[in-house]
Amino acid sequence: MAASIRHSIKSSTLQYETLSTNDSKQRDVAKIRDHFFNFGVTLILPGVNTVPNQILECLTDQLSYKLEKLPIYHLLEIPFIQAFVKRGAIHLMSVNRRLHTNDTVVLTPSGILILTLTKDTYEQLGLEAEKQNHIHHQNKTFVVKINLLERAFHPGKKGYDRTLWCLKDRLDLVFDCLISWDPHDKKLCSSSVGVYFMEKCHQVTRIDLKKASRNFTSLPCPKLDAKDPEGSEIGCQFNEFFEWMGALACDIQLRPEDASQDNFVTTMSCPELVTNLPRCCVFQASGFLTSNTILQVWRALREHTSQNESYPTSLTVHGFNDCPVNKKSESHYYYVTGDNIYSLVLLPEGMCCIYTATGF
Amino acid sequence: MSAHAVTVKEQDKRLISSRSQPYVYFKVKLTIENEDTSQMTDVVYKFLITKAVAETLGEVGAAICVDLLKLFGNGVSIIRVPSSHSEKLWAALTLYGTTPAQARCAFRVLQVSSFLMGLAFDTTEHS
Repeated sequence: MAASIRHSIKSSTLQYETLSTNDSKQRDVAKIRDHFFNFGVTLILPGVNTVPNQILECLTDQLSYKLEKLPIYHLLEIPFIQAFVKRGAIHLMSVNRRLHTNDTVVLTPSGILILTLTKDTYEQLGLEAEKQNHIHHQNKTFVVKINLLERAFHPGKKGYDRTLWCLKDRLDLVFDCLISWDPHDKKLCSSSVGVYFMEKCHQVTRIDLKKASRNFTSLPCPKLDAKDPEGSEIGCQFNEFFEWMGALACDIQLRPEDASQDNFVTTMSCPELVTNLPRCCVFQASGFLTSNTILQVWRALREHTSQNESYPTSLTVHGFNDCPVNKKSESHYYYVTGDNIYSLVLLPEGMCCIYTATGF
Repeated sequence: MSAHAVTVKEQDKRLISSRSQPYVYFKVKLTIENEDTSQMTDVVYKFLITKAVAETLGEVGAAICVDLLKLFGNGVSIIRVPSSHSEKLWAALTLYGTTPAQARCAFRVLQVSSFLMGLAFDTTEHS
């Protein structure tokens, strides 16, 4: 057990990638689009006292709901698939569930229902799981994937009837879920999904985003050299810069290095080679955010930053630790830390970097 | 830089993957029986952490460099420790049960992350 904990804390990965802001492959956009389930965002905005309206407006349109005690077979019903899965990007994930100790479910915008099941539930359910990887094998978890958009997935077909029977009659799986829907047709309202589930589950509650912002003046800001992120004469190491962003997100005041060396309480300091930010605003919003909303925030941020490029501006997206998927449908694990974060940082001279922090 | 870091370099692209993080960050809540922890100073809080480590690991163990990064008003704090000592600190905090003033107390580990950014939100908030 102890060996497993040690292994898992040290299995956290920090990936750093540099690209140009005019990247032909648009890897920044791909990064956002591939991360479906987002809990919150942290924006570090140098040079301003208030969050620009164009960024705030992006967060007002999205509607998210919490569905309590939703029987999961309702997601297989044809009216739901026709009205929501085929006509928009649906984001659904279970909450109040611990990954690797409980059953979890997600429905991705690509129409794939992913059930991550414990051994007991899997054996009672009777649906075929994917081949286990070594971590799922170690934890005795089984992943069942059902493609709701498959051509042959409709009533009368053996596969559909059996899946519905297993989820409805054989084992009535019930989850508390978060749901959000971005319709393809802009004339449709995303609140329809909340209304649809009103009579199908115990209770439907709208989730309001929690927003908070803090202002800083004369803030020490480390320099990051995009061309040499492993530390140079003109910039700090990339992981020190990520720690500095984390300190701002947690509202931790960093002292200059000289003042921290002999401090009893903390020796943490701002990395060397600092510039002074005369003004800086840190904005945080949390709730349930879809990748489309994050993309709008990113575009608004880039538009805002194009006028003020002398300091690094960042968008950090916090995924759910208990979410069974992180990038597209790739498995995510949570044994001790479960980090599921990425940051996009706009640096001076038209450079951009992407941090991806994944824990286990 | 970590020995486990892998670097791939192309014209405009640079990719570094680091599998070994220097620190582990804990979000911890301290409760003391019949005592309000909201008024506690960061020096006293850090002293109790040091006592907890010394009690379990002795004077040598107490030399672990533990940084108290932030103390919130309700006894909740953010602590940083070198990753090689993270299990020792976790064990020491869990086993600590009595303050030097003989009051019963408990450190509860709320969140753990290899990145400070990971403690900015508690993603189980919808529960």
